[in-house]
Amino acid sequence: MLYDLNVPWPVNDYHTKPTDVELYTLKNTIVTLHTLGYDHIAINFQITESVKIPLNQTHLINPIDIASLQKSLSPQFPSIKLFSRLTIVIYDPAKLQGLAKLQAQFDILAIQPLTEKALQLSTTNLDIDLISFNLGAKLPFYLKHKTIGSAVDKGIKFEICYNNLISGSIGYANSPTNPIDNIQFIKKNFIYNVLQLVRSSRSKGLIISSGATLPLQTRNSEDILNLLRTFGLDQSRSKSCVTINPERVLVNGRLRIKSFKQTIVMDNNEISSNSIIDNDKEDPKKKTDSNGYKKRLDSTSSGRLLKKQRKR
Amino acid sequence: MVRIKHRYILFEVLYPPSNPNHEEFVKFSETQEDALLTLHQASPSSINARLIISTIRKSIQEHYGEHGVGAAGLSINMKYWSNKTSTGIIRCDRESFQIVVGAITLINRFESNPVIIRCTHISGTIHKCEEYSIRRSKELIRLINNSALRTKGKQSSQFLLSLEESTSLKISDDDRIEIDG
Repeated sequence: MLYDLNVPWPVNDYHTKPTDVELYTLKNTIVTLHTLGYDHIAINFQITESVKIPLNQTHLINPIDIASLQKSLSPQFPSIKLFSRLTIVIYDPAKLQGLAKLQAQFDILAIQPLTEKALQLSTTNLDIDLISFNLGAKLPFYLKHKTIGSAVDKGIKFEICYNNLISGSIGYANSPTNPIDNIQFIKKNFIYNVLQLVRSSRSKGLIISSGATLPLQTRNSEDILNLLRTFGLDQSRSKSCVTINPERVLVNGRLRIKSFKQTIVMDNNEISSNSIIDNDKEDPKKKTDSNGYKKRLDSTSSGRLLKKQRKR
Repeated sequence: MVRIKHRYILFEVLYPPSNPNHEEFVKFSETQEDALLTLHQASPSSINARLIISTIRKSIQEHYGEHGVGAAGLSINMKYWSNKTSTGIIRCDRESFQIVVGAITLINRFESNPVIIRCTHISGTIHKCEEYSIRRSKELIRLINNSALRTKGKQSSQFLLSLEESTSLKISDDDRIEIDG
């Protein structure tokens, strides 16, 4: 069971619709990843904090049509499981509001902090699963073991996205934030930033994902681990970066939707570890209603009885 | 007496769909058979052992520098390469195989062909690589056949036949390619 939690959705805002070619490229990327052995794949919708999210129209918040993608792929590729992920790029943490409303719409919530303040806030206050950095550009702050370590202890994972390394020049064209960086620095920055992450997290709580916009940018998981080991990733902890750590991110994100206070899951059918992760049997209405899976005690039959008894 | 130890790297070259105007591009995600057959294409004859070795050296030079080329790049040696199945075996020193695999991972094109190279097996003897390669080909044929059954009535393609041939792969001495440093 391999996980790739970052396949970018072709558009980055709510106005444009992806073209047919872009959708085919996305599908091809997913199929290529499947052939390389990945079966849990998260499609990443990345926006900056300035993009206005239609918070009042809950059905519009998630533009990724997971159901139809899954439907078109599942007859031929039954083992592919698709998930949706939201990444918000933040400069100023104060602007970030209404995160709670987003949580029910996406399987995974991730933050890409661009300032130290934003990183600080996302590790302490925000209820998120994943923190990613733009590894192709020089980070404007120093990663401290204290900050990163406390986030890892909380269960937040950090993402290493290897598309910068493989597609140097393409990765550059998509990031207009740092015009000073030129193409040859992307790989150097990537290696530097990975070393910083490895140092500050002590190789714990890292996940590796592709971030592939083209089928060409995907790689075999073992090869990527081997590559990162030559850069200095801890040998014994490297395997968990593609298996157990991303699984934890996914379970964490799914529990937010399906459980009460991330501790209790109720299900009429048999509960297995998969029933938490699976999102195909989900009732979309329940998902949009934030109380769908989170029942209060007094709204259930046994809870009401308990309350009555107490009154007597 | 201690002998010099090597590592044998079994790799396969995959061809991802890259041209949106091509028919494959749309068909790729339709069935598993199409996907596997497109990825595991036969290589054009312009891709030969010499080109692959020199591309790997270039990649080592780019990512690991002069030290990398000295330590790992000069010891690599193509032991087997088949255009039909796009698989090959590279021999390198035991100490530096990680650098070689790392550099192979970072290659994304041979001349003008966009490729993904995937190292499927690393072993101390060439024999184990052969065995693994045969097992893999069989598994691949099984997958493709299963998928073809699901979609029904598709003819097995030319590539499948060449794969079937390769399950009886035996690397004879004539097949082994020797390339000098």
